[in-house]
Amino acid sequence: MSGYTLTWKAGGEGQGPGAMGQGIDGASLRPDTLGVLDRDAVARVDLFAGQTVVTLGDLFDIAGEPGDCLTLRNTPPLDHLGALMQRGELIIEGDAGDNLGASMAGGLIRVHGSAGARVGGPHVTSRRGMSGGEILIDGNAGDFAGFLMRRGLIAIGGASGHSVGYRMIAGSIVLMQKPVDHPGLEMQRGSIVCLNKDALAGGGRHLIEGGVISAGAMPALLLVLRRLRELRWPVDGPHPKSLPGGEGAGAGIDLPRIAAGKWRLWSGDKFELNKGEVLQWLS
Amino acid sequence: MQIGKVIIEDEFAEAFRMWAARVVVTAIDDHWLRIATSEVCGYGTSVIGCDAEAGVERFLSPDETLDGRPGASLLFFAFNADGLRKAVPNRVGQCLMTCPTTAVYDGLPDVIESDATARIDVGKKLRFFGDGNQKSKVVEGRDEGTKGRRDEGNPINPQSAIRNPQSHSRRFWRIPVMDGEFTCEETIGAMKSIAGGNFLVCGRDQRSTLDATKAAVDSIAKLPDCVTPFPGGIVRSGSKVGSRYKGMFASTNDEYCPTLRGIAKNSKLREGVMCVYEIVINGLSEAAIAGAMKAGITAACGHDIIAISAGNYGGKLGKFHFKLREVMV
Repeated sequence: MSGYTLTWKAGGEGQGPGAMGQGIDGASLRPDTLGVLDRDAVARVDLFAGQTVVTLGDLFDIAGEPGDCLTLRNTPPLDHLGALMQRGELIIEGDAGDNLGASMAGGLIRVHGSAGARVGGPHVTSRRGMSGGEILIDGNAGDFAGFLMRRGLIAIGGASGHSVGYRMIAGSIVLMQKPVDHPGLEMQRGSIVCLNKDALAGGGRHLIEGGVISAGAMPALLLVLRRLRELRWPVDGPHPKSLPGGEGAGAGIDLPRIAAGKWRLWSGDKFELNKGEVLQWLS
Repeated sequence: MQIGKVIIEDEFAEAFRMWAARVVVTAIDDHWLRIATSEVCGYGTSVIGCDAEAGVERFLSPDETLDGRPGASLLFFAFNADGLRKAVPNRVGQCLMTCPTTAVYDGLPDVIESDATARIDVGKKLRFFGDGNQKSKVVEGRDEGTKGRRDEGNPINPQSAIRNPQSHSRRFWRIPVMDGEFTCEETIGAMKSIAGGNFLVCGRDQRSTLDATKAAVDSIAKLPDCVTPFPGGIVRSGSKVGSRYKGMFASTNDEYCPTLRGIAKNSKLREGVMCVYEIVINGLSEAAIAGAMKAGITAACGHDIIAISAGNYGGKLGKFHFKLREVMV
């Protein structure tokens, strides 16, 4: 897939608050808007750091050509990366800041690192979180991942912070590690899927325990995991044998193993619509 | 024209414009998959008396299905899209939703509404069986979907940058049932297609002719985009248009009935022919039907039969004519 690669200049040519990435709003770094511009126009794109404006060319070396893919290298964890994005693929070779993919509507974000708080949450211009698209994070995610998400998929390879899926309206969140607390608090619909059988998902009086169920009894769950396998996630890093991602790196989701397996099911939030679900893979 | 000792008659198959929907069904194992397919394709031989013509296009391995379970690709044919709008949800609702462990997916996900294509509401209708407990899951399409039909001629430009971001997502309805959930895609793709491609296998007796015809069906079953909707893929009651009786749209094809040799006007049976079986082929395209006819005839000619012919109505009813001698070139 063609597109631009933006490599952060060490220290940044621009002086002031943007030089080290402090306070820079990364909302302009979107494949769908930058991918249609020529290289000179990309260099002239404004980035905001509070009331200071710097141009993209001041902070990044730009390589590549117009296209659907945008790759960020050596970038400090900027906030709002991929916010409001509608299509294309954003690859972050490093960490992302807060509000990754805020109110995005489509496309794919891959983070080969960790992300900050409110992954897929609402943008300042919206009352809802992401309404489509996919966010795949190899590392950890901060608090409130999936806050108010309306649709789409978030996958977190490492640890997730507090209250994953808080007030989610719908969509899917897949976790490779145990949620810290209260997954799906105040969720209306949607699925939170924990693929680590050693972890204990659930936990919270807002959820209703539904017992153990065969994966084949819920084919929709398999569709989400199939999608992750198509995206070859997770592809990097060590995967403990306790995970159905295979026993080694690069194996991706082992769908037949999951399809034949068992899941623990919780429904919730019982104080809301009660159409959400939290699932933990058992065997 | 001869293939080996088998005579290829100078006849043509007369086929008609119809509409087809492709449904993918999965189940927990092959046993329940075959029960599901036989139920949903049952009573689906001819639109003369059925709501739709139906058949298994091919069976799918777990790697080929969306949910990683064994599956089958099914084709349903009706006179028009409205016919499919009645038949497909009825059949899915009565035969697949009721069958243990099944799930139903769209086999033509790239098809959008147009003059030649349609979306058939299936999960969208059946979800109400959930009585308010139904819910849906929206899943993005496959990676290659971004390069699919909808994107052709849509290069990167500012307009495409704001293309509908949902265009590749698919909605699946999850209906609670007593063994878990019945998952059914919201809509199923349908497109203009062709039905009624056929050929006749003319042999000396039932056993040898049936063996030759079955070999032809087995050969056709390996090909994509087509089905043979009759029992075991074979018709013994080939028909002609009309009847001496009022209200009968079709009646026996007396020209090919061996017991009417010498009685029927214009019997078309060659000397020694005492059994005729017909294979009817419905397909998504002319090429699919022609390819299936060629494969089937070639397979049948490897057996001890006398001739291959084809059914037509003088070319007055069907828009598509498949001349045997051209198909076999």
